[in-house]
Amino acid sequence: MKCDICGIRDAVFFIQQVSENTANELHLCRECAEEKGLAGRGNQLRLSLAGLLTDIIQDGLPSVAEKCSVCGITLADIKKNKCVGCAACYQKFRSEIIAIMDKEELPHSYSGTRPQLLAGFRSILSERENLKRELSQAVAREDYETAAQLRDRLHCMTGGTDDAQS
Amino acid sequence: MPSPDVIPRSWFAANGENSDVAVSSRVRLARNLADFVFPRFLTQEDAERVHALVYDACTAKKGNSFRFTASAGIEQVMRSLLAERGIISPEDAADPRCGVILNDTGSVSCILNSGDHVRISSFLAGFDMSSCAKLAFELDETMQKRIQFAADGEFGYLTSSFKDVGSGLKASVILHLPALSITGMLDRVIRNLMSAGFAVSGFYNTKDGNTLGAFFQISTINSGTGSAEEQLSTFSDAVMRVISTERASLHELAVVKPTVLADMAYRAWAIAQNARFISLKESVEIISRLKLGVNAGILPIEHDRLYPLLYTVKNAYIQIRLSDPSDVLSQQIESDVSDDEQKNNRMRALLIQQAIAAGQG
Repeated sequence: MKCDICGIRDAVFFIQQVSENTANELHLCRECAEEKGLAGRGNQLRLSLAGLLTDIIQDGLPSVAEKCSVCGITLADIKKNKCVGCAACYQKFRSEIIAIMDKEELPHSYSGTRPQLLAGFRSILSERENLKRELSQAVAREDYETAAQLRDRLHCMTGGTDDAQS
Repeated sequence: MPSPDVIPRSWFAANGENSDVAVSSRVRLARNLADFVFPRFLTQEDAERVHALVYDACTAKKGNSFRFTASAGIEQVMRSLLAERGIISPEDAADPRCGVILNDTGSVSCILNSGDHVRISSFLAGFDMSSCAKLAFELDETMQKRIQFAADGEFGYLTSSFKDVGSGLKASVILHLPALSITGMLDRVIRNLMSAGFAVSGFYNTKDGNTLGAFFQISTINSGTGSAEEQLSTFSDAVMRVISTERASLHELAVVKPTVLADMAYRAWAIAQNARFISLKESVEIISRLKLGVNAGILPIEHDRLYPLLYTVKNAYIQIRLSDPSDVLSQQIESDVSDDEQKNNRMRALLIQQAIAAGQG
């Protein structure tokens, strides 16, 4: 069985978390277990399974990081320069951007045409955001098998680095 | 010296609508590709992918003859020329991620990865917003057949700056307002434009902040209200009111102060015809007064001869002319004119005299 974190090495740690009605398992190789503080450091074994995936989904939580997970721009930077770093910023910081525009007396009541969606077009940027959201939800409901699959898809999409394009 | 075919030929030499008062019109559309972060965070590799995708989309339509040059491949003097013509800023020209796509006459251009991935600009002599906008929207439409631009149901087209969100459109015009300036009505006209939500600035400013030749640029400030058509219409109405006011002021001046008007025109005429050296600053003032004289029916010069000089008396264009040994005017420069600044000023005088001679009715 492969490690749920790296997906490459064989799993040697099998962790089961039992809650009131469900039991979830996580399978880890030694390297990933050590990296997560689960091997050789008994005092950290109280860590929740959700915590193991926190770093993967951290960028998808705007309230925590206040940073766009696609381009890496901070909300502070956006507020200072009145510019965003990518189209996804408008989704992530929608209410904050509207507040900035209102403060600057910049209208946002455009009623004209939008570009037509090209047949078969799928935005890599929005797809990535959707996957992160699904990953976050999977972790929240402690569905680690799905979370690991989503993580692998994200990994492939970003070419091996979660900070691609930043 | 840059290859002559790289130099955009003269869209500004055409005789446009309302060209008694309007020098030129411009429409700019800001667009971004949906699958790339905006240029500020773009890697060189992705910037080059944007170049390829946009250029392919521009040239996909049969009959479109666009030329692409990456900023790194633009020679210094050409960068200055493109900056003089409002096509690309010196900062963008120095950024290796930027590029420029131009048509034969420079009337339609597209700057890549400058703030936004795509900034389409169209230029027309005179003032005719709908024809000018048509040029930009045609290229936009051609691109949209192959490129997915970033947009949002609420905001419209998504751009780097909040000012451009919505239509991505910025409209601007350069107006020549000497009569309003002389009659003292200019301040009120500018205040009205600014309170209506437009930006107004001097087009030729000296270092001490003075505006030369009564040339002013009026432009829209943001793109987030109504539709692009409504934005253009509102802007067009406001500009046409200014043009009408300038015409009325000139008519009044011609009746009330004909001698003052004639003195201004003939003084400029005398210098333009006889001076051997004319600086850039003096050139702008002379072109302004000659045009005032033509509009008032005092000077016998064809309408479309003067405003193009505003582009050709600038430094980069002068440098290109001087560096070409086969250039007819360059060959006329006397052997005793050896200083670089004198050569520049001599070339300006020759260009102005050539335009006047060719344009005398």
